[in-house]
Amino acid sequence: MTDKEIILEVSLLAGKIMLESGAETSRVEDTMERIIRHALHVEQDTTTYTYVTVNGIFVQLDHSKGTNFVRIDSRGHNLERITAVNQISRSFAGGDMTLREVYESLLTISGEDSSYPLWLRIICATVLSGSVVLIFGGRFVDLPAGMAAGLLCYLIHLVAWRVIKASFFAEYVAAFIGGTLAYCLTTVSSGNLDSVMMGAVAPLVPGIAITTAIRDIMAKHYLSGLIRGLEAIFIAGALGTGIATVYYIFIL
Amino acid sequence: MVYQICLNIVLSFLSSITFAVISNVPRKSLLTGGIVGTIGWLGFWGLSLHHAGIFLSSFVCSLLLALAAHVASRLHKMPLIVFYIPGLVPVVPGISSYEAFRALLTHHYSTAMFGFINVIFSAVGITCGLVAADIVMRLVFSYKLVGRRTP
Repeated sequence: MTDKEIILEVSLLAGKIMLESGAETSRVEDTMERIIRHALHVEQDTTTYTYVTVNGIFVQLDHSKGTNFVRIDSRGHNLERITAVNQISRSFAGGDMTLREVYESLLTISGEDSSYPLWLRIICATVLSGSVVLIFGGRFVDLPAGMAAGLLCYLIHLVAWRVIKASFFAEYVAAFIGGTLAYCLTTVSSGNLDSVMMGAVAPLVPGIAITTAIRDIMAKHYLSGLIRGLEAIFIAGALGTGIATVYYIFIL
Repeated sequence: MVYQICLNIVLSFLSSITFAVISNVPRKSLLTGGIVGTIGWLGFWGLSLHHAGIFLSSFVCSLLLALAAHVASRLHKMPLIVFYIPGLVPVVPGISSYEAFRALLTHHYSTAMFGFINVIFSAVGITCGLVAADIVMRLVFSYKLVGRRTP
C-alpha cells in the first residue's frame, strides 16, 4: 500500500468504529480530519474532504484519486470505544504514535466488545428500572414489580435482538412481555401500574439517540440529525405500541 | 424534606451509574459520571418542585450537567459525552415520548398532544442548556465550540 492509501484506511477505520459506537457526526469528522492533517503534515488542507452521515463515511484525499467510502450498518452505544479512538487520535496528533501503531490499535479496538460482563449489565438494567420507578413518584411497594419487569424487558430485548435482528420488533416484543408481567404483578400487589411500566421500559428508551440527534442538528449536520431523530421516534413508538397492546388486551 | 433530598441524590446517582454501565462508559469515569448526573438531576428536581415549567427545568438541568461535565472532562481528559449522557437519563425526553405514544394509542388524544409538546420543549431546553454551557466555558477557557470550525 502506498502512504496515502494507508492514511485513507486508518481514517476510515477510525470513523467507522466511532460511528458504530454512536458518536455524533461532527466529532467523527473532526477526528478523521485531525488524523489526515497530521499524517499529511499540513495545517489547513483545501484538497481533503470528509463527509460523514449516519449511514456512510466519504473521504477524498486528493482530486485525482477519487473518493473512498464505507457503509455503516449496525449502530450501538459504546462510549468506551469512542473515548479510546479519541485518545488515539489525540496522541497521534501529539506525535506520540506512528501511523502503523495507530492502525494496529484501531484494529484491536474494533475487534473487542464491551469490557463489562453481561451479568453486570443485566443487574444494572434492573437497578436502573428500580430507581426510575422511585424517581418518578412510585412508592416502595412498586419497587419489586418494576425491577422484575425491567429485568424481563431487558432480557427479552437482548434475546430478540440476537435471534431476529429486526430492530423495532425487538423493542415491541420486549415492551409487550415486560408490560404483561408488570400488569400481572401490579394486580397482585395493587400497585401503581403507570410508574411500574415507566420503570420497565427505562433501559430501552431512546434517550441517547434524541440527545445525539439534537447535537447533530446544532452542528448543522441536518441529515444525520433527522435520521437519528426518526430512529428515536420509531423506537419510542414501538415501545408505546407494545405497552398499548397490553392495555388493549387486559384493561379495555 | 431532608429525606426527599437524600432519596433523590441516591436515586439519581444510582440511575446515572447504571445507565453508564449499560452504555459502556470507561471504568475510570464511572464515579465522576454519577456525581455529574446527581448535580444535573438536583437542578431539574428542585425547579420542578417549584413549578418552573418543563422548558426552564430542562434548560437549567442541562446547563448544570454540561458545566459539571466540562470540568470533569478537563480533569479526566475524556470526551464530554462520556459524562454528559449518563447524567441526562432521567431528564431526557425518552420516557415522556414513550408516554405520549402510549396515550396516542389508547385514544387519549389531548394527553398525547400535551406529551409531544412537552417532549419538544424539553429537547429544545436541553439543547439550549448545552449550548449555553459551551459558550460559558469558551468565555472562561477560550475553548472550541461544539461543531466544526468556520471555514
